[in-house]
Amino acid sequence: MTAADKAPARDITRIVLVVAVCGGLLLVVGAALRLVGDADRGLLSLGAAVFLATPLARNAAVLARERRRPLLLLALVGAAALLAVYGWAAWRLLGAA
Amino acid sequence: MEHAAVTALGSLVVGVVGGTFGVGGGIFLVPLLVWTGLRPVEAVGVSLFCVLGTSVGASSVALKNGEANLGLSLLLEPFLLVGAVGAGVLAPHLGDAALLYAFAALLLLIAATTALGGRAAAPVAPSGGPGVFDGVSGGDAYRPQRLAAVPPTMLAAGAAAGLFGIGGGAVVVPLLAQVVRLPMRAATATSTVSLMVTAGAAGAVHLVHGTVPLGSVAWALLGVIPGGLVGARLQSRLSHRVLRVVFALLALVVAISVALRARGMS
Repeated sequence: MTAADKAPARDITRIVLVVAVCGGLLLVVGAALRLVGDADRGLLSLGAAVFLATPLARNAAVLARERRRPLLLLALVGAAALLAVYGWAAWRLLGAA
Repeated sequence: MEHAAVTALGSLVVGVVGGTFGVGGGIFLVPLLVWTGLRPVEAVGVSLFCVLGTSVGASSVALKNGEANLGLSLLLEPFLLVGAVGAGVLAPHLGDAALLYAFAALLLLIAATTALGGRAAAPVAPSGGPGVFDGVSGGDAYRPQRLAAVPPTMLAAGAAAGLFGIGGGAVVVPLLAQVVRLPMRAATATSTVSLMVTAGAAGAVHLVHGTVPLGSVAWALLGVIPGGLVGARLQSRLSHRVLRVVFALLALVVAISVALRARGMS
């Protein structure tokens, strides 16, 4: 694998890690606040949403960095399927709130 | 406070065990969470978030070292996603005992296939022009074979993930190694990258059903991710044969304990 081939993978990895770590930290802080006090579920819910956005961020990064057309198409299909599931979930959760 | 500490410490142990045996840890995490007092369907929801976390960590390594076949992973994911979402919709409607009995059956199956083992099929070198899904593993180029087998098996693997809160690697890796004829390391790495989508989609469905106690997710993540990193280091120091035997025995013991728990619930 050449350095040029590795560059997109490195960028994708970085984006995925940043989103996952942010979501994980929000979850842990939200859980800790609820444990020691009477905090509401807002931070926990936000953490879960950010954490779940990780695969979507990865597909977005692939779309931005990948140059091979078949892979772009597959990433687009994957992102659309994930967006459909997440959109349905958000609609149900916000509707219930 | 007690539940948080038990969940974090238990998840740390599960993370070490999962990392040592090269699995996401869901097959051990779900029984642990049930033991801490969660309903089986809640344990599945929490486990899916942890699978997502471990997949992020492991896939960052797999993508950087070039072992993961990103193109093939993108091909697997829509099928895994459909299976996982379908099972995620179904899971809350199953009874607790039924879910645990099915989980025990899956563990027995995994124990049996691990114990019996089997030699991985030899990878096929690319011929002719460049292929979309060609990859390189350990310096050797390979071309995936029999891609028509991907849709049905990935739907099944996704369903197992959504229903039982496991990564699905136990199904995906043997398929990629035996049928699609990927080198073993590439099969494991590609599976790891794909599981992120499976766990994310099934996790969102469980969230809608209200079967994800987010506090437990946070404590389990705190344990399972560092545990997984320690386990991955241990893995390289143990022989493959010993790992296989111990993993099969452990899966058998957990299967029996889960079945006994299900019997107590029914």
